[in-house]
Amino acid sequence: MRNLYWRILALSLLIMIVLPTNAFALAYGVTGKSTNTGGGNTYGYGCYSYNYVMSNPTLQSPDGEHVNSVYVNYLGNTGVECGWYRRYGQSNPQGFTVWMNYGAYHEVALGAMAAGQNAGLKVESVAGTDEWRAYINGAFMYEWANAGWTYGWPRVGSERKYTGDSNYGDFKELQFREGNVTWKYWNNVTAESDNDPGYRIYPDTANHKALVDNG
Amino acid sequence: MERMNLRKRYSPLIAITSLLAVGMLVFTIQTGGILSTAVGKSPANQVQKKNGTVVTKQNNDAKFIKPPMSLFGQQVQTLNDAVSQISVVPKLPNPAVAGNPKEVYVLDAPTPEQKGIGILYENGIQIWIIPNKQPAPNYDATVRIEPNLRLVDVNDAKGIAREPGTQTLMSHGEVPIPGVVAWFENGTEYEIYGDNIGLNVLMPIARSMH
Repeated sequence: MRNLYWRILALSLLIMIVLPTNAFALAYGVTGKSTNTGGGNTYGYGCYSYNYVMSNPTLQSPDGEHVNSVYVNYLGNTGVECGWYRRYGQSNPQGFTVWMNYGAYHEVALGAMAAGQNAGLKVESVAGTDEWRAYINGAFMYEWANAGWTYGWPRVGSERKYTGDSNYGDFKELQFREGNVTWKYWNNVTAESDNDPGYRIYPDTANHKALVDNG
Repeated sequence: MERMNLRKRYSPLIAITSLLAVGMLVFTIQTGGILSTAVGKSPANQVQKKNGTVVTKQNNDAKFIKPPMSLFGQQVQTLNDAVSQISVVPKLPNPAVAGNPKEVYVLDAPTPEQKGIGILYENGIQIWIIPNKQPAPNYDATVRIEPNLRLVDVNDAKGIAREPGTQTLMSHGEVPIPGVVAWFENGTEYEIYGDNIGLNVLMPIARSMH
């Protein structure tokens, strides 16, 4: 019986040591948006940012992850996103685009992206239609046909899986498409959602930038 | 000898007590009670940053950041205030079924005719009223590409519905999918969403909008 006692105690301690403290991973993210002079939010037909693709983000084993992306969202449960993510163990950042339709997701992989340099991330609707396209560095990557909406609200976001992961985001040249053709800089770069205990967004309207960094 | 007997008799009790104690310790660590990186003690849905800012976590643990309703319009006091600012007379939920709204918004749009209403409830249910929706939704096509959606009838109007669930993305891992009922009536699309809220709750709210 004494052996059983020690076995149970040893097994319990082993379980405690082996189980990762974030077994039920929480989400951490910081987003920015464009606001107008009157205080309302800017809507448009596209969103663009020149974004730094990190070469060596800190990622926790076994599946830590970091994402940077641009979005246009339409009324909460509809939107298109384009960006890159890097998961623990991956040798390169991966490009992706997502279409959220009535709250469900469609996703297309856009291949490996060059790390340690900036990439132009863009989503926009095709003028006069409800088709949305994703571009990286000016190259057309994918079209979401018959999306059912034509305009939305531009945003950028930086996300991480664990508090031990990097959540750096360097979004420059922040622009939205006003009408069918004209691209403009965000009116006022403004912090939006934030549930990250370690990072926050530093808006810089004068330089059309949003930096997500420690703070 | 007597001491040996006592030890034998109480060994199982000691083992079980130890197991419970270790279990409680593991639980405390897992839930962040020890080794937590949060500064200070905040309510369960809030995180205090190093600079003192308190941020509110979203109501789910998924990575995908859904925008708040406030992104899409201007908050007003009452539903009547919202109705007075849009171009159509929408069908509204019966408070006896849906409860009282927590927040009401007049949704921005490129034209006054497209301005709609957003209603948020305490339990997280969202109702979006979208007048003059362009293009008009094609629900037959939508259910072909969204396998979990099905066609439904809401007060004699065609619509779609889905129970809540989850989905796994390459880029974002597991994300929640809200329950939804949506239908199109006289040029206006009505959408009702609830994270982790089933059609047994959403559908009666939809049917109360007549």
